[in-house]
Amino acid sequence: MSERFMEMVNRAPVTFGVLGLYVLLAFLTDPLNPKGGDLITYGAGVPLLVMDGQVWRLVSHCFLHGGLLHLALNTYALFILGPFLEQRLGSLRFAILYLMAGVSGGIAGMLWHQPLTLLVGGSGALFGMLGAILASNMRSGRHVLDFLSYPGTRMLLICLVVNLALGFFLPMVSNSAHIGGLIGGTVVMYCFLDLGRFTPDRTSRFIRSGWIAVFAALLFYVVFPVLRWDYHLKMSFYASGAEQRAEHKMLVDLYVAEGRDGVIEVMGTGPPVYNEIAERWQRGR
Amino acid sequence: MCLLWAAALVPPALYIGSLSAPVDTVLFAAKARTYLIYGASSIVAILAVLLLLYPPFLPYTRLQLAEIKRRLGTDHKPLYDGLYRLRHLETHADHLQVGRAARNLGQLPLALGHLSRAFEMDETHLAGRYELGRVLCEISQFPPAVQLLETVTQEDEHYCYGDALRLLGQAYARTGALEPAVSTLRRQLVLFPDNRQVHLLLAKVLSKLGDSEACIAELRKAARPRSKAERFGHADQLARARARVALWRGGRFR
Repeated sequence: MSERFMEMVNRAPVTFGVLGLYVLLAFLTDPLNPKGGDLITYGAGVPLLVMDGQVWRLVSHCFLHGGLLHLALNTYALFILGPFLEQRLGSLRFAILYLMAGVSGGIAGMLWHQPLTLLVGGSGALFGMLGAILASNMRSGRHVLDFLSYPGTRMLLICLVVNLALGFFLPMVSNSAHIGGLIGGTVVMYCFLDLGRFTPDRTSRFIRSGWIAVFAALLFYVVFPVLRWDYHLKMSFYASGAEQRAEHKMLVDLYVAEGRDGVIEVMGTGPPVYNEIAERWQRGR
Repeated sequence: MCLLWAAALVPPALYIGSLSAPVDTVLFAAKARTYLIYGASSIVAILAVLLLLYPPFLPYTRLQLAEIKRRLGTDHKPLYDGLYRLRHLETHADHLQVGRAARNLGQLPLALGHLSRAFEMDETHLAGRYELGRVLCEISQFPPAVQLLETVTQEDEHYCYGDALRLLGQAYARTGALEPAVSTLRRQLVLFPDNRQVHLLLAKVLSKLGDSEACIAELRKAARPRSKAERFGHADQLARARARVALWRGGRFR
């Protein structure tokens, strides 16, 4: 039994490394009753904190989980998908796929959710792995939709759709992170990792560089968002010029007046740095 | 793909704008988002209407839905029975049965394997050659399909495999043998004069040969309204719609 297990670990070291991280971080954050503060300490994704410069949370959030059931489901899914993909791609490419899919899911979550939402879980990366399998099948056929001829890949597509639909109906599930991870994993596999039978021509290189540009732009926007009131709240204190600070404050007042994004409800319920900013703003109104 | 690059430039542009005029930038971005949403919705609605008005769209959709319905309703038993028997004893008949069943279920690679084996076991069997030729046409392997279907049409004196001439004509056309394609398709039309697919295919071949008058004549026959006595399948409806579009273009095909 242990020999078989070690053989599995040897064949898929990155998968089992990630599984080990899942378990380790779960123990550190109490899997039976994880607290928000602990999750934030160990790297949960919070839009406001990412905006504050803690970009590393886009990676770290993939390894944390919000409870035993969450951990169990993601661990099982990774145990099924990980070794298969890692043996097909190799450990390095699999690691790149996991990270890129996780970061894509994180970016989508940061863009979609309220500033103080806690985002944890490896399911963005897992959706990316499902997307990677789909992309690999798309690459292998005579044309892009040829994979629909085969029952196995049709079932994979149905599995994806069902999981996405469940995400819409279940509370506490970030479907935006799932969709972001799915898109990230599919694009990474289709354009970069699995060249299939085709060598990259000029058009493919142009498309690839386009996707890199979009990824970089979205990452930039997550760190420096312009259309979020919480960004303007922060800039109303930290912008370099008095005129700029006044302009940012005007925007926050505009957002509050129009009741956008539940601004009033969210203020004063988050981490200390944010509470301090919110209190100073309230006093200055 | 330029859209990807355009999308990538938006966040840094917004950021640069917000450094000097944050209020104006945000208000501009909010307005642009509103216009984009309304504009995109309007464009999608207009495209949807145009798509519904485009003649081949509805027949194509009906054809695909009918094909899905047919595949879902096709019995798998012949396939599994044949595969089970083949595990114990390999026979030509079982390979042929499995090949036919796999083809009916849309599993073309499986069908090709078994039909090829059936052909190896008995090259004289007419049905086997026809089925293999049909599958080869479906996977766009036209040169070997031509060789097989030629022998089928030569030996099939009573036209039991009525589709063989059409498939052979299609295979000739795709391999560049246009004159034989024309003669084969005309032979098919003698047997089945109302077949709109063959009229459309013949029109395409005549167009490639440069005979635009004959091409337009065939397109008119393909595009004429259906008579009450005519049996009209989804494929024929689609062929008629495509012929109409080709006539609008003056006999030119994309």
